[in-house]
Amino acid sequence: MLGILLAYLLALYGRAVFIRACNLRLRSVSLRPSAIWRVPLAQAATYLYTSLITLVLFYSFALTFLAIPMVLVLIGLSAATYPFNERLDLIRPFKEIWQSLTQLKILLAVSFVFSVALLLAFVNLNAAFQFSLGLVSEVAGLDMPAWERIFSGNHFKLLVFAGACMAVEPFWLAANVVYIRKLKAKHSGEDMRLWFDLIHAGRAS
Amino acid sequence: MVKAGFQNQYCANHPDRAGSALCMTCRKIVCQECATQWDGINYCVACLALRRDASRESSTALQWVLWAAVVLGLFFVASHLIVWTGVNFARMF
Repeated sequence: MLGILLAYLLALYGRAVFIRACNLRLRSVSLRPSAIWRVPLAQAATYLYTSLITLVLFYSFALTFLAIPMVLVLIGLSAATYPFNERLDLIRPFKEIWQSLTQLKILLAVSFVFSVALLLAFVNLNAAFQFSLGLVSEVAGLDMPAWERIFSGNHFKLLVFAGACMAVEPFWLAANVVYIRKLKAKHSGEDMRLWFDLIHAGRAS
Repeated sequence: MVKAGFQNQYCANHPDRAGSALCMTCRKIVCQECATQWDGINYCVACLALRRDASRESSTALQWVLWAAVVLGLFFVASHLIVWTGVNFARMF
């Protein structure tokens, strides 16, 4: 149990730092690299809380398969909106997520695209392993029944699936961060500021 | 740039002054004195004060205790759900 908790906290911290870095880059804020690792405590605590709720939802609906895309949208939004929760609050993070659901079509499309990407990554990774095994046994002439048994087992497929998730996840998180950033820019008028900056830059050049 | 659009409009706080900026939170037109830029975005005095107060408010001890209790409970439920779902998936395949 403690192992699961520690692994989960470590994975969550990694995600939080990645999202923080994406956000800072999008705002063109340059910080010392060490400052990027320092996720504010209230934001990290809120993220842990929302991610646990979405985790419970995910595993509650995992066996139904149908609700998974919707829960994935919530997982992505809870991650992308955590930097906007500057205070510890149990209700406000969900208001933030709810307000971000205004363009549900885009979010579902993003989920669909990344589901296909996950499938492709899984197939490619699996093929790479099978190809390597074939290469070793055919070219080098080694008989490897033990390895073949390992490479065709369900545990191995789960491992490859986890690897595919790790390959696709940063891109999926970044897509969610960009979505939230664009949505916030529209609400705050920052899109206008960026547009004016672009016009200025065009005139200057 | 933005000022050009407010030629015939006046500040929401000072009706005798010409408007020079639009507050991006409440959408009120304000004069140069009432407008402040923060992170490149115009805010009126009231909205700026609200933002400043929101960022200053710190979490109370009670909120942290409540948070810890909820997170521990959620973690307990989540870890059991993960095991339960894993066992069910293993039976399915």
